[in-house]
Amino acid sequence: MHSATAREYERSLLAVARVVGLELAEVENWHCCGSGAAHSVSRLLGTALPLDNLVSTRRMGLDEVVVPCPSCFSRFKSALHEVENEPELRTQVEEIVEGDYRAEILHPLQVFSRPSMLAAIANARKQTFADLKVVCYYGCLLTRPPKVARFDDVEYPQSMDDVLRAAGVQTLDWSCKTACCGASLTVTRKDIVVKLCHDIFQAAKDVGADAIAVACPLCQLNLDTREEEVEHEYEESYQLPILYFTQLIAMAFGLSPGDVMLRKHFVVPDLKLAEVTAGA
Amino acid sequence: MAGCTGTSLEEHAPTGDSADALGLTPQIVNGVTPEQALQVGGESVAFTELVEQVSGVDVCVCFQCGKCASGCPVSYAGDYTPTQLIHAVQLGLRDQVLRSKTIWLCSSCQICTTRCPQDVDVAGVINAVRIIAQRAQVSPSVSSVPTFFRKSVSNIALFGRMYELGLMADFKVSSRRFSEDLGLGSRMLRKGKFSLLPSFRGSRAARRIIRRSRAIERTS
Ligand code: SF4
Ligand code: SF4
Repeated sequence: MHSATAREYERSLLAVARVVGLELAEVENWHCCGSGAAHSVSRLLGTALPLDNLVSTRRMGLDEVVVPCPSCFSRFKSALHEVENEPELRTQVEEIVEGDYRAEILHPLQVFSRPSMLAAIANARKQTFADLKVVCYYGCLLTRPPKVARFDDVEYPQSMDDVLRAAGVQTLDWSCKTACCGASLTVTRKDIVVKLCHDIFQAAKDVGADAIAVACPLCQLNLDTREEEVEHEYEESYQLPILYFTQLIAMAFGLSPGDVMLRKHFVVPDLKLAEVTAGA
Repeated sequence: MAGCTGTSLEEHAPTGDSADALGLTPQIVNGVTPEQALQVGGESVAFTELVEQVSGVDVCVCFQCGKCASGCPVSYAGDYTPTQLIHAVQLGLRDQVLRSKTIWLCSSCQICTTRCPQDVDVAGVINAVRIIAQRAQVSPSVSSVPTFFRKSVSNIALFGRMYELGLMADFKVSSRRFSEDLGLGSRMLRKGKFSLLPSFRGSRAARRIIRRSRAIERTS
């Protein structure tokens, strides 16, 4: 995974994968899939960019790709869906990318919520979070549109809740699991983003959450960096840390807040960790 | 398929917004409804067909139920709701569609597409309209959004992988938004959220893809 903005996601994801025995290799010579931009300039380009990365994957002899960013996950899956359903587009794309691009696209949540992985996560627990109640925010593109994403319940997904509960984290029911935080507008229309983020913070606060768990670097950055402005604009105090679900699991496995780079966040959480006692 | 008509735009008209200024709020004049007054045919049909061709979506199956509009997180801020926009595409109202704010404010959240009972890929239609507007060089009503798209693609062409700091600087210069979010940007720098130097790995492959897809689009 690329980008300094999400180094803590990458680091915690790799730590969790190592503990549960999931082997990951980086796609050689990968380039940006253009998600969030290229597709809105040209559908051909927006389809060819991700599929070219899949050709590189197949060249490595691999055919499953774990894509931690839902925006990229969605772009890869949409590209495959589009060439499957639009013969004309497929012909053009195949003139551009050289080689087989068929591969399975998976978000880490899809892998970690398999029954064998849930058991491995529960087994590897070393620390618990005292008094921490979390709401899981899945965002837009992990489940939508369902024909493309083919993952979890489209309006009320459960996989992140399952994975975090296996790690001993208490998760709450709430109404904004798949609301939109407006991350794609964060650079261009801050006013809309502040309103959308406010609705999410308020819903989390209403159910008594202490933190929001996310599975998307764009959601994390957007919610975390806009929280102060939302508080200012709406004269409310939220102080809700926005944590990657992998950071929580990695800490449950015994890593320290420093190991998972909690200080990189704008709203820095004050977590109380205790050792898992026998039988807990 | 093209040039079909749906129900009235009136039902989903946003209140007190610029729909009026664009002449879309229906007023019955001398017993003639605005739809009867619209000249549907010729160019308008060609526009509907163009949107259908670029998006691969049959817009005429939309029966104007309003479900896409009721779930849309940004329709409060736009000039048309997604429902109205689809209706305008059905009617082939090219200028209203290409000049609308909504097409640029759409966050691509896919709620509309997911919930449509007629399986209309509304977000796909909006994306196609964006592409058509950029190709036709229609001056966009929210110019920062297409500027950001274009700058992102040049960033990929240059560096292969996103170089965020370079993209932000480029975007700020070309959209003349030097001061907005300056404080946030410098806090992000301090938190180590930007790489200070770009990586060029993957750039040759990305440029090859961009060059080839442009060549195909020029000839088709
Ligand atoms: S939800 Fe579908 S059928 Fe209903 S108005 Fe929107 S596009 Fe038309
Ligand atoms: S994809 Fe765009 S139009 Fe559709 S609901 Fe989301 S923001 Fe609204």
